[in-house]
Amino acid sequence: MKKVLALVLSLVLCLSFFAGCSSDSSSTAPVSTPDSESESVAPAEPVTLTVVTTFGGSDGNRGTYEKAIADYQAASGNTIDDQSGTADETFKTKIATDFSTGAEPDVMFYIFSEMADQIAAGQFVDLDTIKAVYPDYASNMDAASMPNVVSADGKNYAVPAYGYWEGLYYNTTVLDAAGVKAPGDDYTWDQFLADCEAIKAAGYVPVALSLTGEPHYWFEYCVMNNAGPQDKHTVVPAAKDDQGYKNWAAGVNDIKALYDAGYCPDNALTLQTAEHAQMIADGAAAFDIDGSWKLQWYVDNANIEEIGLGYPPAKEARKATDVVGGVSSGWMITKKCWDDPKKQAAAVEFVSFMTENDRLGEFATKANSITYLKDGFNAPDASDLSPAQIKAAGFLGGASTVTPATQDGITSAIREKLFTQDIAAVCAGTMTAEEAIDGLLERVADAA
Amino acid sequence: MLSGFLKEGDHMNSMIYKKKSPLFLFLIPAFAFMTVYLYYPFVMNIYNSFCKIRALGTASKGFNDPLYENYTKLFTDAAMGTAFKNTMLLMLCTIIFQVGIALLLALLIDNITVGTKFFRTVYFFPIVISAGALGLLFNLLFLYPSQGVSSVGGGPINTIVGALTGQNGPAMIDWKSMENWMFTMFLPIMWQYVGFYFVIIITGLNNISADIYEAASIDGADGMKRIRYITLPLLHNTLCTCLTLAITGALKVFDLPWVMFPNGVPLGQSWLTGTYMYSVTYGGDVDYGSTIALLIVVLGVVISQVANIIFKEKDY
Repeated sequence: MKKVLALVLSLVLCLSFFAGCSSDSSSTAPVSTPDSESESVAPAEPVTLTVVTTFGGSDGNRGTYEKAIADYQAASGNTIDDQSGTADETFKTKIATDFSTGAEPDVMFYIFSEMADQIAAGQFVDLDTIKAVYPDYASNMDAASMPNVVSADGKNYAVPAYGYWEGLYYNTTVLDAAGVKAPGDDYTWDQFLADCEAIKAAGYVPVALSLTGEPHYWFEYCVMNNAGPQDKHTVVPAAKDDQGYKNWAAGVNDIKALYDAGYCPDNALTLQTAEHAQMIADGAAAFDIDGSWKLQWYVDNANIEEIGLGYPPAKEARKATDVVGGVSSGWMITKKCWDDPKKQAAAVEFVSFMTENDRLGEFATKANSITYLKDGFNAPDASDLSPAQIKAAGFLGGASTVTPATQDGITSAIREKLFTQDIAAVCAGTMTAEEAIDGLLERVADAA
Repeated sequence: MLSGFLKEGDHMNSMIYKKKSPLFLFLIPAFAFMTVYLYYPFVMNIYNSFCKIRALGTASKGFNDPLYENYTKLFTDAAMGTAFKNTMLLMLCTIIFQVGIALLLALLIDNITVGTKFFRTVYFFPIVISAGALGLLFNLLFLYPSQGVSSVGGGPINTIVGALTGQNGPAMIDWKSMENWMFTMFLPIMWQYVGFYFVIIITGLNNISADIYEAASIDGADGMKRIRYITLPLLHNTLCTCLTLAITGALKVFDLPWVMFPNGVPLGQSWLTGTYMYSVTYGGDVDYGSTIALLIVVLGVVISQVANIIFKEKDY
């Protein structure tokens, strides 16, 4: 008897290790009916939707998103299994793994370029298919200005929430101390270099650049300064004698010129990402190029009245008001969810809820950016805003052209070495700009 | 319970160790767990090192051409050479400083009667703190001050050095520069794990019978002679264990160095095998990352075995 009991206990212990491998009841294989793609299906009972977004970690809109989730659950009776996170490499790997193992979420708010393979594999449903069944879906968006999240097949797969821009942040106290005027809307590269010289002479750091942390935004504008927006600077060069290749190498060399002139911090080669913005906040450095998301950081961590915002300096082919911006993330519904008649309507309802005018306006206000709403949203009273925040509200409106970021067309796995290692090596003289671009192109070819 | 396995007439004392087959039954759960979550991934890792995988979580795009491409790359990749050299240096420092300082502290604690529990807690405490948190802490300790007329901040180290050298403000030392990075990286790693070896060694010291020391003192052996002829020989096996742990630990270390020196800063000089493997894997070359992981295992086994042969375990 005791022998039998011992045997049973051992088997139960063995089986308990595999209990966690059982599939989630909310992600069972979709029950497809002949009409699942052409007819809307109202769920008979509350459902659980798995949602993945980038509103995790320290994202400025995390609080806005969590409140919206709570409001949706209270209003609809559905449950949101929120698996949001910060878009770092671990998170991206988890998402890629989920898609390849059939455990993808139902709804995502995510970066388009990172989902290119999954879109190509038919794992997302396009907007036209959704609108054929739910005609009011995304109807509050201005279709004419709404960017197309196109894939190779020319279809749009995402509803954009709000746009982003990359601009020139500066510390007005530092500029005043150095006797430098605030950059205007026609700020040129030569003026910028002259200002850097004056700021350096006054004992401040002209450019708060972390060569191994975030040279990304300087790269964008330095390349566009050499290529110009009309030359499609975002296109990855095809060959070494390609004009695009020369423009990219010239852009990297412009960053090296800033480093060689002593306009970067002494420890630019080791300065970490979190430290370079702190230099602006502390009044130790003058200029930095960063995204719209950074403005909230300055609101929370600096004297915002001392922070200015302008258009990055331009040279040759680019005007200062030709900016990098647009939309890189949006709401997407997976094919797996769409084919599940229990979840289809709930997913559409959820995305519509999250992109309602006022709710989207809250997100855009926190992100200091614009929406693509037909009727706009209630913006906060300008008297409550700092000069930088007022400038941010009209940043894209004052732009002559808005071009997407070059890096959004390349996956992070391919581009990170350029930004975290090779640009620093070029500045230090251990690598040429051409070698750095060659390395990127080799990784692009290898990934194809 | 075991009496259930014995036949009538068997005596428990003589027969208890004869029937061992039921014991294997109790080993099956742990073996199944390790097979699924350790040995299977290990075998797949070897297989993956011959494939072309460009992103974690994605399927392979066939085999490499040639098949052994990643293994030849181990010898031609300059960054891998840097990582190997730094890791061997770290291993040496771990053996000399971590185990060495732990031994010294353990010997000192063993010779005092007051405050032993206090010192044990204090020396063990760093191992309890997460390595990532320690990395952030040391980043702040070694922080480079903001430059120029509005020089602010800087970590305590630069502030203290500035005060000691009579400067007006913090010292402007970049502790992560080409000249200083090795000291800045190795110091917190050494500091964190001294307590770990300290606890192992002090347990070994407690297992040495006090009668031996009594007999030695009757024969006139003083402090240093006791340590040299009694303590160290009897601690030999414990020190061999510490050696093996130090070797494998140095090969695997990742979290603290990555937080302080991500992506091999400065200029790829600070790579370790663990951090380089991580960077390569998430940089889109998953198969090469698998190859480096395999190298780490092979190096760990080989160097541990060589160390065991050189410092043979002895029976006293």
